[in-house]
Amino acid sequence: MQLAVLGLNHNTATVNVRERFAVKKENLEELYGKIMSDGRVFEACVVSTCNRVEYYVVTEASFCDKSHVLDILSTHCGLDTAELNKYTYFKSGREAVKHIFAVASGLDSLVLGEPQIFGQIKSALESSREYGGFGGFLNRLSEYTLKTAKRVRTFTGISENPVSVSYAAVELSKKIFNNLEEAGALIIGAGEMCELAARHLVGSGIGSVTVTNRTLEKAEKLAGEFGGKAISFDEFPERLSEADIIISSTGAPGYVVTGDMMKSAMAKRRHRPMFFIDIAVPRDIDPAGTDVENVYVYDIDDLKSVVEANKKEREKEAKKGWEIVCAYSDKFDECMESLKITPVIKQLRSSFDEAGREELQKFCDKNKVTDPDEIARLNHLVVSTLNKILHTPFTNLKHHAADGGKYSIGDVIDLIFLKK
Amino acid sequence: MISYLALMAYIIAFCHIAFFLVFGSRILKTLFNIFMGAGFVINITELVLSWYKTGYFPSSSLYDFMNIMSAAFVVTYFIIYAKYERPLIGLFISPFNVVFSAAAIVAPVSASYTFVDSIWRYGHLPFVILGTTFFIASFLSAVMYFIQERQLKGKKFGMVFQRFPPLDTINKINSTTLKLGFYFYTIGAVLGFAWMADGGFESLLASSKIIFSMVTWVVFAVIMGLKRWKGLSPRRMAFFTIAGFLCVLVTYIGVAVFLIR
Repeated sequence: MQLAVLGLNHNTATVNVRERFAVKKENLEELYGKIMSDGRVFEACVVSTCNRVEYYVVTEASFCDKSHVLDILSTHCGLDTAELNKYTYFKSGREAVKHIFAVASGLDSLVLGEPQIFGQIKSALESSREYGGFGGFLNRLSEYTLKTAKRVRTFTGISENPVSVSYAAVELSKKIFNNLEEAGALIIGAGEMCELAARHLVGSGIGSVTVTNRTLEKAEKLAGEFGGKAISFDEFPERLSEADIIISSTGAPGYVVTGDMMKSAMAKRRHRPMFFIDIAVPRDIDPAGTDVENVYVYDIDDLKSVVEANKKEREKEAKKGWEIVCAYSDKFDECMESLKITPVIKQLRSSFDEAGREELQKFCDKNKVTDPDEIARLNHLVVSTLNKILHTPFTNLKHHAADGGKYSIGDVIDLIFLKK
Repeated sequence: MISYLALMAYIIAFCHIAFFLVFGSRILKTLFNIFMGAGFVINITELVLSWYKTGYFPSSSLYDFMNIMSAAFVVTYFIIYAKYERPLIGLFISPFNVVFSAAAIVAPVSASYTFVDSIWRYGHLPFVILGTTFFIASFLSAVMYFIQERQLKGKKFGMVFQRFPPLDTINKINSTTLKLGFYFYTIGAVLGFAWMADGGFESLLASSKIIFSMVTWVVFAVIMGLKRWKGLSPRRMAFFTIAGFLCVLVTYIGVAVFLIR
């Protein structure tokens, strides 16, 4: 049995193509039914997110090539072979295993290290279990996939540094205010950037959100989304001192927050710091404010430089992530190889048990042992002797099953029956 | 031998916290705490053994003083850590442990001065020493504040910026250590005066050491007063704390080493 993956992602297909190939949740049951009806497919899993659509199939090694997988998908899922061929990538065996490990770890994501993909892969594997695509191979694979992804996240800094401007702004504010629950934010403007920043702030547990905008209705709408309050644009200079974090993104041609406003706000705050984030072009906040004690002013270029530095940092961490992926794919191979020995061990054990039972029967007949207690004691002796004899060879068999053909017959005997 | 063990523990602890600054791994933080704790246990064991052997609390030699200071720094660190869970203050505190432990090795073990044993001493000594170590921790957090403020204003987002605590946390550490240091030092000073009055050593009031101790107390009392009634910006408070630290230096090093008691 081997794993194969055929898929497309943000690198191989545009959003229009990805949209066409995307699989809706309500169609999953039917899709799994069709794929699993093909005699060549033992197990299957479909991953469909906004940035990728991937079909994982477990099949015989002889069918594990692109033409067979394309044939399976075009026959049963009504997908156009030519189009599939044009936009998809194909991996099989060890490469396919490494691929799913890397995807779940965020190493193949558009935003390197983004955490959502972990949940998406987990839920795809659960759907496969629910709709009959799951079996022993995928069960083991899902266990190793989740382990790898968790290890990559824990032991590398791949998801530590924010790589979007609005998220970077929120993360920076945490370097001034330890507890955002005690802090208040003022959002100046009600555009898309402000909405994103507000979303990140609320997600980080900000204490309160106030929105101001030239059109009060828009401010009220945005504030309503986050359980905040709206104030009129004329009112905000007076209320500036109440905010700890100020994010501004308006279309105003000049400064909306001047240095004097900052000075007067600081005078009312009894030395509590203020963090101004200007994500507007042209700028909304007077950069001279940075000279005021306890005032920190960051503009879009500052944030972009943070984002760029963080991206580089993530790329460095991704290398460590790939090392983990390779190590875990080795472990997975070993595990699968060792599983091949399980039927042999079962057969061997049952033949030893059978021999034990026969010898016990012969002994009882010959010596006229009829007392059930006596027979039970003798049976216990036979079983425990067999357990003792077979423990070492069985352990060694499991342990060395993944070694391939690197041992001679003498080594095998030594390894299985003699080595302790 | 036991002093070397303490020194080793503190050096290893310092290495771990320095690596923590670079790599940020949790295990390094845990190991730092373990080695600081180990150094403390060694210091205390040494003091207890000495007390058991001689029959009086070991505080009359420079060697004893270095060991007590070293242990007090660990207590200070763990109190701050318990409240704020920010181990990086240890990056600045542990070098003091290394210096004091190394100094203990070369310091004379014999008594540097004679004293009259009294129950007051057991109250005076720990409070004054803890007060001092908290004042020093306050100074160290002021240094941390300036470093982090500089990173934020200068928009430098390197390793130090990433690992250092948020600015308001550093400011809180500064306030807390200053407050605790002042309370401990005040209690220690009061107990010291009570000891003087009880033993009839009023003549000591004119000694340089007592005068400079009082100057230190007054400086910190002024800082506390300004903070409470006038309100000091974190930056100013950090400056004042550094000024207070200079007084501590004059009291301990200047007076104890260069002036006659």
